[in-house]
Amino acid sequence: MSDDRPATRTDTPSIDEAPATAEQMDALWADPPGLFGRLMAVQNDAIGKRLLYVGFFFLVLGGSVDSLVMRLQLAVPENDFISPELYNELFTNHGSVTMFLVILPITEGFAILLLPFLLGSREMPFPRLGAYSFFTYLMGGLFYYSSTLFQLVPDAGWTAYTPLSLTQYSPDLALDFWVLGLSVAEVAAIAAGIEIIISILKFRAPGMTLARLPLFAWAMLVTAFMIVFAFTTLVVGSFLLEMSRSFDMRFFDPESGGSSLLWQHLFWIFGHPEVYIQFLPAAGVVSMVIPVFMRRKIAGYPWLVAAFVAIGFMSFALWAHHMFSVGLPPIVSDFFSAASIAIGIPAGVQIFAWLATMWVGRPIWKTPMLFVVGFLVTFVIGGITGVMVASAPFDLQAHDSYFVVAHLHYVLIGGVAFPIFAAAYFWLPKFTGRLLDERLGKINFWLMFVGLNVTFFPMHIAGLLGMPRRIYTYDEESGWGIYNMISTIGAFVLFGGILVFGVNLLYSRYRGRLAGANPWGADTLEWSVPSPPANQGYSVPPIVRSRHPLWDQDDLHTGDPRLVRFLHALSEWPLKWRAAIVTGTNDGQPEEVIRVSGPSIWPFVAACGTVLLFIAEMIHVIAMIGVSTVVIIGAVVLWNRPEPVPTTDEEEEAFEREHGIPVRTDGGRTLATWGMGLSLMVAGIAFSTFLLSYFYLRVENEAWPPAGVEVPGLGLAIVHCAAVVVAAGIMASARRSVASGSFTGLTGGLVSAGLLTVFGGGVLLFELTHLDFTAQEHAYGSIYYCLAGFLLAVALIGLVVDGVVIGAAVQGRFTRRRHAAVENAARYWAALAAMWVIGSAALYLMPRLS
Amino acid sequence: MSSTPEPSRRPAGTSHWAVLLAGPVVATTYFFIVYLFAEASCADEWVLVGPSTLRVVVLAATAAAAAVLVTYAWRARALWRADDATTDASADERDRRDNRRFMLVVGALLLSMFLAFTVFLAAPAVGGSLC
Repeated sequence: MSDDRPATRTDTPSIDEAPATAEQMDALWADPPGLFGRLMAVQNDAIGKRLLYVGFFFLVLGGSVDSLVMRLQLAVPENDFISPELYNELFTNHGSVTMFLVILPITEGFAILLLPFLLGSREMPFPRLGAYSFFTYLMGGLFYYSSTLFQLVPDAGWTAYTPLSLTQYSPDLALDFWVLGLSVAEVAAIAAGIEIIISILKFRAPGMTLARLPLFAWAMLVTAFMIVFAFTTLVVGSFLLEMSRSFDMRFFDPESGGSSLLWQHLFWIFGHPEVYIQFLPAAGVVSMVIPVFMRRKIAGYPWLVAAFVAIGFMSFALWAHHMFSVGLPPIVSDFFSAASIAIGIPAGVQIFAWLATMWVGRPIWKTPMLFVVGFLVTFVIGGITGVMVASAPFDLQAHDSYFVVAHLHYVLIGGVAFPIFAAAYFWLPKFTGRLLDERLGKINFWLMFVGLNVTFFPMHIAGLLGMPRRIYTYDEESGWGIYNMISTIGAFVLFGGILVFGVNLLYSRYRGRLAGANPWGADTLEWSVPSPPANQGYSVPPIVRSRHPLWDQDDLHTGDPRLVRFLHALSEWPLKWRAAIVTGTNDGQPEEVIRVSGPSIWPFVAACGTVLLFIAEMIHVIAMIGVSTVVIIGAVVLWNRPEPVPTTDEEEEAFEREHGIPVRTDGGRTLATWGMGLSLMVAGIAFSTFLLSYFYLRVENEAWPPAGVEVPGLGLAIVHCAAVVVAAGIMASARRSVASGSFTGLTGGLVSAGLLTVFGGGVLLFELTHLDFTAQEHAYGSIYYCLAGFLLAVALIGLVVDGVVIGAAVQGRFTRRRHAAVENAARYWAALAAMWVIGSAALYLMPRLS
Repeated sequence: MSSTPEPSRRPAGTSHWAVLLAGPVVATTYFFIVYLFAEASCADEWVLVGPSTLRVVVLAATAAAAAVLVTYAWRARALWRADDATTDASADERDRRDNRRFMLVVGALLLSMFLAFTVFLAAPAVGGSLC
């Protein structure tokens, strides 16, 4: 590695393209034309751009217009420009939309758009999952916004604290729109997160070791794991809230053994990492932009990677610093206070690494760099006020005041939005083929930088003077008027900056300078392909031998001769299906050639089914719940069904023999393993969240179960646990047999495991229908039914998986080489059995032990 | 003088991954244990533990977590030394070694950051009020 050598190279190494096959590949990887074709589209370019466009649309709608109306209302004391009810709806909408529908989809959009080019791969690993993620996000956002049409706009704040968000104080469907609409978007975020993780770990150019991974990819890897953990927790929290609203369950009712703080815990276990989920991609962008515009390799690459990982983990240990004022035990407050201050260590490491790079660099003051410098200034200010509110005594004074509003906007606009704009100016030319206008870009930056500081700096003072957040007006005697007037002026300046960006996008789309392949003289792989790139990205996948391939390598196709032959062969075969390389997690060496899935309507259908399910729950139409469940299951089965392979086994085996790399036209074992592993991780996190809620409620109650309620007997519990454990054993045995080449009894084993699971689930269901307590009387009953219901739901999904695998077994699809589905079924049952036993222990044993 | 060890031809293995992830995993586990223990200790009528044992448990857990973190740091040092550079290694082998060493460096940085995190977190248990 040669990080100590200043980089001066700005020309671009050549890309080998065989024109004839490149043209064929472009057609092979293209999405179908027309409206129906757009609904079937799976290309990362299309999905990434759509996420960006819709994210910016929601930014203007909920991020900007709402805030301008609120600022007009607050500009002068005792104003009656809008009603208090509308003000409540506006601040709820502003927070919810920006946190759920703007920043995250934009950062995930950039990731899906960029990662294949940045990593030297042809596509994302699960293009159809990406399409599903986009449609669920879009429909979830529209579902949420449709509340306006029914004049049922949520008004309980973006945090939806209980009891305000329960039916007692929010009796109409407004909060249901909030819970369910945003839950759909959360499902979309988790799906995209899984796709991003596997893409970064397994879809890289040969030679791209972990030590050579671009920093944006490192940042997105940590972010994607955080999304999976944090959003799954929130989905469970939202489920408990919706069960409380729709079915009168008692999780958050203190008079029936519940706790309103349980919602706050679940919300902030998501909510605080969410800030870093938004910040880390921004840090990744900054780490990519600074070296390019400083003409200097990044200083402290391993330090930055360590800082990203540390922030990812530490951010899950901070949530209760939002709850200092609720009466936590002093030692607990102190833990969270200490943890909140400690995260300043990795955050500071990042700042110093960026400053060190700038210190020795030669700056080129283009618009992306201006936004990055603006980021550094404002993020440091936001970070310092963050350390202030991490201190419990100070936070008790500043809590729910405009000081906090100022702090979070410095962090989210300066620390997140500025890098997003930098990324737009930096990377969009790669995909549009035209540079954004520099003069408009500089006007855009200065309006936003000045606007941000004029808007939010006075809020620190207003907050310290005692102005609470979420008030629609204030008295003239309060002395807050001047600060609010300045803030309102600043908000319009800030909005002017966003408008200039929109104008720049439109202007540059038609009049912008042609970008060329590498307009910035940048160092990473995406700049080696034409702007805009071909559908397949790389006809001949590149070989990476440096962290900065375009600065350090003379060309991207030199390396081990066998590897070079393999990569060139891959540009000529197969030309009938979409081939991509799966590489080793840490050494980046090719492991498999796999077939990436193509366009399909089923992700769109599955997304429609998902939204329909949530709508059905909201309006309590049981038949519609059934129909939408069938639609989802059917669509997912159909999108995953094996498709005919347009090449023969002989062709595949000849390629394997020649190059020593397995060809997997069924999708590949590696992806199947990772996909199932991450899906089980999501299930495990959801299960852990139910368990955490169970234990929290247990600790909150002196008697568990409440007086007069009998703990269910152990007899039936032993029976259903045994059935599921034996089913898992049969699955494991089937997996071992298939791996050793024996297919005798495979179908019988799969059927037996399914029947045993049906039996175990039936016993649990029988017990649930004969209990002497209900889910509506006490929090004990509520969490009991939900935890048991979760186990049944996981078993039901397993039975669908089992049905698909049985179908494939009956058709004789499995061979000694190709049986990933059987392996995955065995893994699923192992996880199911583990959750079943642990969950049953909590339900049946814990009340007896404590 | 001992002979130069043979350069390893394998990619980063379990030990390297363990060093890389030990810091965050140990510290996060430690955090949740002491947090849940503190919540349980301060809850009314909780039968298993009480405030009196909380301080001792937090400090003992801190010492244990710190010991594990230091042990892994030592392990990182040993792996680094065992993977000494040789001048005649092939380009592929140099790539693999660079990657292994990168994982050790990042692992060591994480171990030090999380050691600071762990010790800092325990400070309130030394003299602060508990419940």
